[in-house]
Amino acid sequence: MSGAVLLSLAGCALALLGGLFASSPLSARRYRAAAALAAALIVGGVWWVADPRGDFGHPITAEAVDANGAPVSTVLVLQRDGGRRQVRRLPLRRPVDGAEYALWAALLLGLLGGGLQYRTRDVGPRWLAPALPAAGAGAAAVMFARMGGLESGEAGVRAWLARFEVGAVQSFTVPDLPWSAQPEGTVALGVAAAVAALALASALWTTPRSGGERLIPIGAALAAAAVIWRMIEVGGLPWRPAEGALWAVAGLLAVAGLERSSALRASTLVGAALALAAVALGA
Amino acid sequence: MPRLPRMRGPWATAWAVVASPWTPWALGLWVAAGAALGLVSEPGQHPASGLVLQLPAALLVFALVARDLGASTARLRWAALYAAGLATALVGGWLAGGEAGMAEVGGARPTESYTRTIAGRSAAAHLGAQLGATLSADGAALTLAMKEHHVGEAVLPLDGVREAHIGRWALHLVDVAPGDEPAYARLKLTPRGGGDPIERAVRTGSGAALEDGTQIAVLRLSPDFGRALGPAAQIQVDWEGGSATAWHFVDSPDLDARVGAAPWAIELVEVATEPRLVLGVRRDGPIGVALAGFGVMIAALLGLVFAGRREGRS
Repeated sequence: MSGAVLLSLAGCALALLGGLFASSPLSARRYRAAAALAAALIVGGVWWVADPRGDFGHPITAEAVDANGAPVSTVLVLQRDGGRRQVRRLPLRRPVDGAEYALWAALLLGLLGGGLQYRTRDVGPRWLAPALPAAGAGAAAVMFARMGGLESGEAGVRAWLARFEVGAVQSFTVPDLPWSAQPEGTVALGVAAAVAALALASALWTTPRSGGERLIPIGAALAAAAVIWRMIEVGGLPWRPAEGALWAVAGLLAVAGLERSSALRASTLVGAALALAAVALGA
Repeated sequence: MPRLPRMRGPWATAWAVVASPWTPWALGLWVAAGAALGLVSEPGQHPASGLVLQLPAALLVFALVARDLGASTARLRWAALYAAGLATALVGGWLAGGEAGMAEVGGARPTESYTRTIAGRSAAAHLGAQLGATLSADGAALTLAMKEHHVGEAVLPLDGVREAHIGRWALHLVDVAPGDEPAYARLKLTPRGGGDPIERAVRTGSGAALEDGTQIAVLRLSPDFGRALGPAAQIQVDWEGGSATAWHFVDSPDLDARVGAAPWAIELVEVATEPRLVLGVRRDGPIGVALAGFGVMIAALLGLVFAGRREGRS
């Protein structure tokens, strides 16, 4: 996990806190809406990144890695009736059952909560709209986190094989080290849940004070410092997804910090920056 | 407050667009969308990156200054300084290198070119020398050399974050992909006279010397011998007083132990492929200007915070 991306995310969190807890009530509503939409965007981003085919609608799988982080595979010897003997090396990759439904639910709840917050008047109790994305993202994060159990030995490979119709297996090899299959994006989902929980907290304990907007340029300065950190850490400037995300986060927060006339515009940019930083961290 | 010259016609329209409070917002979201595209596409190779990242980022500089031209002098000063920092960082990004692309290198297969995307099409670009790589626990050892000239070498850490600089190129690790041809055999060798077994990894066409002077050479490897018997290695063993060459198979541990005559019983544990390294390649350049640009941006943002505090007090 890159420290520079963490610093960038901390800058986003600071900017969001400024909007949520230290602005006028209407401004705080805008930031709550942006937080809910950011949570929904993070969920969508996790889905996009976790799906190896890069599009929606396919089962999400988790690749098994050992304690050193190396991918784990097994060599299968297959012999079908009347067919040739085949030797195949297959990576241990496990489908995450039900993950797509959890992400669908989290995405819809985030969008619904954000839409309700953009209204100037509450629909139902004050906590209802921010509670929706918090519940959705929290449930998805817990589900993903629970998937990372440790497996090992012959029993682990047999449990993996039991998911497929592989009656023709004659033998298989067993990886030397224990392994675990953690779906990608668990960290990002945790960030989405935390952001939504902050928005919920700001609805429950409103503390309107002027001057919170100053936290946004400070957050932008942290995001710019994260870019410097990254360039020094890398020793150059290759343009990769992480670099693209860090530069964009720094730019978005700075524009939000320079924005004075509209909480709607500033909060939308903070939400977009937060979603980018979280997906870059968890991807 | 600065006075602006009076504008008419298309100039006035262009100024109204640039100075609109919605312009930085729209450009910012456009840049975010571009970065999101970068998160899921091949690094640095998106053909639309100029349109979705560089151009809006450059326009953002003008939009930021134009927006605050009507604001207080103190605020304008910091906004202008931020814009200057952003412009410097963009120029620094351009100076820091370019011509990015991808190269694939295997242990026995060096390469002389890498693939660049030019105008949406893949094209092979020459590196000027042969790039070779070998993988070890410390990282990927890279060498760039010609027959008569050694350009340079570096060890690239496997964390995938840092860059290595060789000659006029900067390289980073994108992926370690599984190889498609068998490269070495992992052998378990047990002394026939008794003792603990040892393990050796021996490449095709090379050998290993054991402590009693026995030489073991792997002549050929097959991922699936005769398409029926699975992975196999043709191994030659030379010892004092004899020599033997035979095919050894995975999952037949006791065959050589029963019928072999060499001082060591050989068990073929694995026929392994050598991974291919996928490297990000770009022309190297200094990052000082980009770093300075971001330093100026930080100073401007902090100045804006203190200017806001002073305005709040007065």
